[in-house]
Amino acid sequence: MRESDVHPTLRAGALALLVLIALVEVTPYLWMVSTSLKSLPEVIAFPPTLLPSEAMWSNYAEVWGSAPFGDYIANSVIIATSIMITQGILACLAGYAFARMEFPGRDAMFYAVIACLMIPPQVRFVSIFLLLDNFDLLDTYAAQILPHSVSALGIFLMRQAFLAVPQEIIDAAKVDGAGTLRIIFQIMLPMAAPTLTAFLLFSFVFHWNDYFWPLVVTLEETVRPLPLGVAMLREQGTGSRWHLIMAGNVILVAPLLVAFVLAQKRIVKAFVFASIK
Amino acid sequence: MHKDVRTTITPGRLMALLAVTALLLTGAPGCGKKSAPGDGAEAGPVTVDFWYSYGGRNREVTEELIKRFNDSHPDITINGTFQGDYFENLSKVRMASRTKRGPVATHIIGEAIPQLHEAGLLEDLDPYADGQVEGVEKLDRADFIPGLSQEGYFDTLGKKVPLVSLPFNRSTPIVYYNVKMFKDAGLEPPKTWEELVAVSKQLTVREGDETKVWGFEVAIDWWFWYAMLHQAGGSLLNQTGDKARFAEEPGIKALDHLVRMVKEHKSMKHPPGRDYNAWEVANTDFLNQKVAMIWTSTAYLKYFKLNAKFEVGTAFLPKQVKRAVPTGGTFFVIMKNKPEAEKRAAWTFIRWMSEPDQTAYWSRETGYMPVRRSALESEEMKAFYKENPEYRTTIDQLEHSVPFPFSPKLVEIQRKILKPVLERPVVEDADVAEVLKKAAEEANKLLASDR
Repeated sequence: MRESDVHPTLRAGALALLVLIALVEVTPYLWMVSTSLKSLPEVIAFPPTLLPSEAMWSNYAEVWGSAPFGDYIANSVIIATSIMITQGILACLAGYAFARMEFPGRDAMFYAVIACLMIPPQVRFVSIFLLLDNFDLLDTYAAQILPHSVSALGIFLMRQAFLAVPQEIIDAAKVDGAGTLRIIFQIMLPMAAPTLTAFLLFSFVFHWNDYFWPLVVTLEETVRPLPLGVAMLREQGTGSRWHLIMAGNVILVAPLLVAFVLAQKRIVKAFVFASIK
Repeated sequence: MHKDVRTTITPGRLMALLAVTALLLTGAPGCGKKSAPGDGAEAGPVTVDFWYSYGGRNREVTEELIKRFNDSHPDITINGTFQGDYFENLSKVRMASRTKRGPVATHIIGEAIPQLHEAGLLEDLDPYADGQVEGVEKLDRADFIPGLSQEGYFDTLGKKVPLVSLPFNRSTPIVYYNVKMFKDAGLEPPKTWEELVAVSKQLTVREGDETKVWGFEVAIDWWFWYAMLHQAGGSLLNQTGDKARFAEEPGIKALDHLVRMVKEHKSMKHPPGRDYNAWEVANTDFLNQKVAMIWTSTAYLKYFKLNAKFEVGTAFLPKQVKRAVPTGGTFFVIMKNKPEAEKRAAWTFIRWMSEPDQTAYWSRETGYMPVRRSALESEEMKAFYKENPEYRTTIDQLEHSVPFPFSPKLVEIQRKILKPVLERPVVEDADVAEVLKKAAEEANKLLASDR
């Protein structure tokens, strides 16, 4: 069905609905940015103002100066990127094994992986904490990366994507003398790229925003990521300074938004592919 | 065919891949930084890990005090770190106590101290306070303000409990009111529950269905209900601490009073939100002059003074059969499973924090109370109170402070049993007596269990 075939009223209706959904999604972010630029009296004033009467850029300077935010950002980048890369590589390898190799206990192991999807991290955190302590790994990047380096969801998604690759292509590659790793990374991966991109994106965003795990395994500030830094802006019992908290939140989400804008085309393509299949 | 696939995995390549992964994980810069657990060696300064729960302004004040301590004590380094809010910190302290890591000193909400003590996690501080530990001077315990010390915060239920904590940030709920609104209506802050109802009704301004100004607002939360429970002559547990008593008449009356102000008189606004969110709603409404009078912690005093565009008055909570007010806040504790030298250094720090100069500075900057009599009587604080009489309300009110039972189940009764249900009569129209009766049954079950 071409665009021109659609009834104009229907088109207008669909457009209005999309605008509404976009507004619902975007308004909290705009509100956050607006609040981050207000003064405290303006933040708590009723009725609230839509835009700050005067943009208080100094809020950002105050937040930035209150703790080593540069370090937090660097830590966040290191942690979220490392998790994303290891999860991606291991998901491809394991996904391939489950999709295309035959070995005893394969299905049982696959079900075990699926079962992992159901267990919330809060259930295992005490034992992992003690384990990390035994290995003397608390307060390290490793403590924040290792427990997340394998993703059951990633393995599951990559297995499904690899299953969709026609066997003939793999056979042909083998005839031409390609090894398993070459088959996985050079032949099958490009065909499963949309799935992988979508997964890596979810992984990165989730771990970029993660507050719980880093709080559990870090006792010192040196290796802490950004969400913990932002949490330090919250007051306990002295009245929240929402303008500063929101400025911290803008600092937290800004890198993600920039990344989204830069990679927008690829991301949209990936999701379209993923949903067509 | 599949056999072929397997044999073509070249071990070399696989190893290379794993090596890269391993590098990523462990080779990252800054990895493995940690302070070695002190062994109490005499050489060099002792480092003491101190965990705190403050963000925002309180964090700045805390860090400033830590800096002053470190500057004036060359042999001790206090390493203060933020560990999430009170309850996140508490969980982490419990978890870390099973490892060799974790803090030497931290601060804990009062309600959780019996549980930590019962679990054997807290250092007995009596020998330090009595000067029986080498190199430690005797502490003048009588200088602590009675309602604020561990002894004042707890009713030990006839048991003997050692000193395991020193007070840090201590507060009471107080009444904040909009002076102009009260003056215009020719009213005084209410002194009894009956006056609370009457005054709130008079101050409520309604236009059609819309309420322009509410007379009164308070979060229907544990702390405020606990005050009213005692004002009505009740108590949480019996005298031996093995049976709940809060579902008896005083407890019901206390909750029912608030519920009726919301539903019947429509002169009290019920602030929505969980935990402190509801408190913040009340604060914001007060600052926006949507409500004439609220109850909340004295800790917000400085915040109100900085942000209110009207004169803020403070007053005692009203009474029913008697005056009563619980205290709140946190206490310093020292963890038992730490090297002696570190514990001694931690004691030096928490004792220093309670000394007049520091506790006075803390109080002025935050609105919490100074914990020492000598701080109250210092020239500096006297002058301060003369200029800021509203800071005295909470202190004068201490005369009527009521303790919490020193029960290891206290924090669970508060957090898990009562806090989640107190709002139900307002939010779900549940019956007040039913709600409390069910909670009391649960509490009795918990009190009877060995856990």
